[in-house]
Amino acid sequence: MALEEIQAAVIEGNRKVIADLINAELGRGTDAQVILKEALIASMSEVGRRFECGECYVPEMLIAAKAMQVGVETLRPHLVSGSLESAGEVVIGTVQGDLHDIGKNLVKMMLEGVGFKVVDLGTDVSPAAFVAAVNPATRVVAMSALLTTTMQQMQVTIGALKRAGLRDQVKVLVGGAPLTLAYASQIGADCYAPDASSAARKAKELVGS
Amino acid sequence: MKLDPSQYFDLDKYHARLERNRQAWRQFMAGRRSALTFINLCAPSLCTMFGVGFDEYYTDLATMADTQLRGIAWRMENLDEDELPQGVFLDQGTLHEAIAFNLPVRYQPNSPPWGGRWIDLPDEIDRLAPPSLVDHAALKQTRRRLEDLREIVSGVPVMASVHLHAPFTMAAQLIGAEQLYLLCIEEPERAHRLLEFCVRFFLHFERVKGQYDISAQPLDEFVCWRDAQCGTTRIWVSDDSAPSVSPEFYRTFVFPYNQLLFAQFDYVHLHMDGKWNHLVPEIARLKPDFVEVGGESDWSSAVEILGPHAILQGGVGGALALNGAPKQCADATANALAAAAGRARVVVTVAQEAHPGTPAENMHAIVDTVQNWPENARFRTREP
Repeated sequence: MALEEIQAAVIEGNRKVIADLINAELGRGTDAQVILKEALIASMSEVGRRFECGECYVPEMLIAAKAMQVGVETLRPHLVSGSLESAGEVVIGTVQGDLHDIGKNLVKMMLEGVGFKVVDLGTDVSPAAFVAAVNPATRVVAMSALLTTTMQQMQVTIGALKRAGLRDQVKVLVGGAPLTLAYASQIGADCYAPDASSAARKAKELVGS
Repeated sequence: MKLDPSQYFDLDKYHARLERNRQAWRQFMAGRRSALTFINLCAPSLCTMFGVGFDEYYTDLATMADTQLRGIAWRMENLDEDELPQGVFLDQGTLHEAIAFNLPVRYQPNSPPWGGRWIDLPDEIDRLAPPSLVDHAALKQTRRRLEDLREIVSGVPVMASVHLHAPFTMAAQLIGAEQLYLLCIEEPERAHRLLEFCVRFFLHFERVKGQYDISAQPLDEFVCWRDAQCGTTRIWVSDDSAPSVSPEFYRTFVFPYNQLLFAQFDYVHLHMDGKWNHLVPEIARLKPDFVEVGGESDWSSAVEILGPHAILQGGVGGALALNGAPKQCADATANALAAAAGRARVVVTVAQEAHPGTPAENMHAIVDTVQNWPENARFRTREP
């Protein structure tokens, strides 16, 4: 029942009560990993499902993701070191020339929600900065663009990853309002995600987890 | 530097084309034809087409004018549309709130310029006071830039405008969209105060900006069709932050303020990017006169619900026009026309604007399909 309460609070985006609910559940002896998987991650999966089928929209998803973040931070001290299983590391950013961050932030939160470690480079990220952020643990490079003008930077960044010898090490995931699957294929990306929820799902598929 | 439009295109042909377009518009408004077409080629497309950097385009007026004049020449040469730009305009990208609120502007090589945020913290909303519009530095600078542009270009109209976004999107410009969404959910009273402020400021600004003489010249009703910038009775508003919200959210935080605003004007031209099928009934209740239908939105439902009251613009998705074949673009255009036949007056174009790099063949396919549509074929005149 208490796990369901936490789930409901995340889905409703009620971040003010999340910490209390989690602490109470920990006090009842529930393992932190169980709370993480069965309450927090499960709730974000449900939010993602609702988003994809038009039952919730960007503001509701955003606030749920914020609640999820509070939940993860509350749990973090209770998780045994290394027990917070990472699905892998994702380097994410909005491409050079583009200052839009809502889509990127939502994808970041959804990725964290399904267990990825996310390195957020922010907005207006140059190809060189993407390249510099890739390290041996990086499994996915995720790029966002809202403008038809800036989406062209994705191809430039993929080129920079190739020249740096990193292209084969990472999968490239792209998304943003003006993008299409055809465009993603054309520029040599591995995957296109039309929204934040599917981005998280597709990132998991890309890394085979 | 002086630029002579006659060095770019034949001015007699240009004026003849404009006159033909005016006739087409009048026939359209009189209900004698139901569809027009043009391809919306904005700065991103023109800069890509002619290899011009964005920072250069937006900061160097001669480059801006040269790019636009080359765009007109290209359109005259390549597309037989129902609209051509009515001259050169001071292109300010999305900086309108930045100008109105005197915000710092950041110019970048690969993107249109951006204005800073006016509100950093939600509690600043409690102390909101509009910027003084007396001796307004950014408006005066805009006026100076317009005069400089007129020094560079002669022989065609040189125009400028500052038009604010619809209240919800204006608020998103001021505080950041993410922050606004959270504010609406977590502190709705504060959000309402901000949105009320945006309505009041919009109306105040519309009255005051005329003092700076930066509105477009109201040449005729044809200009007003595309750029309803001709004074206090008509507005062109963009509401690009609204499509991301649910119908319930829209009814609470967007609709009331748009309704307040729209009621003050005789003619409302509404632009909304993105996908907003779920909001079509709400938008219909606002009774806008002209609606640009987002490229990802469903044209048929827009025609069905909005068509009886509003002129609709769109019909062909930007991604299809960019990546598809000419036949696909022609088919999409024909489908858009067929969906609207007998139900709506439409301006068929790439919604909202052609993506940079859209092939000319695809633009041809769209324009030619509209011009050869049986109902329109009788209006065809020889190229002047």
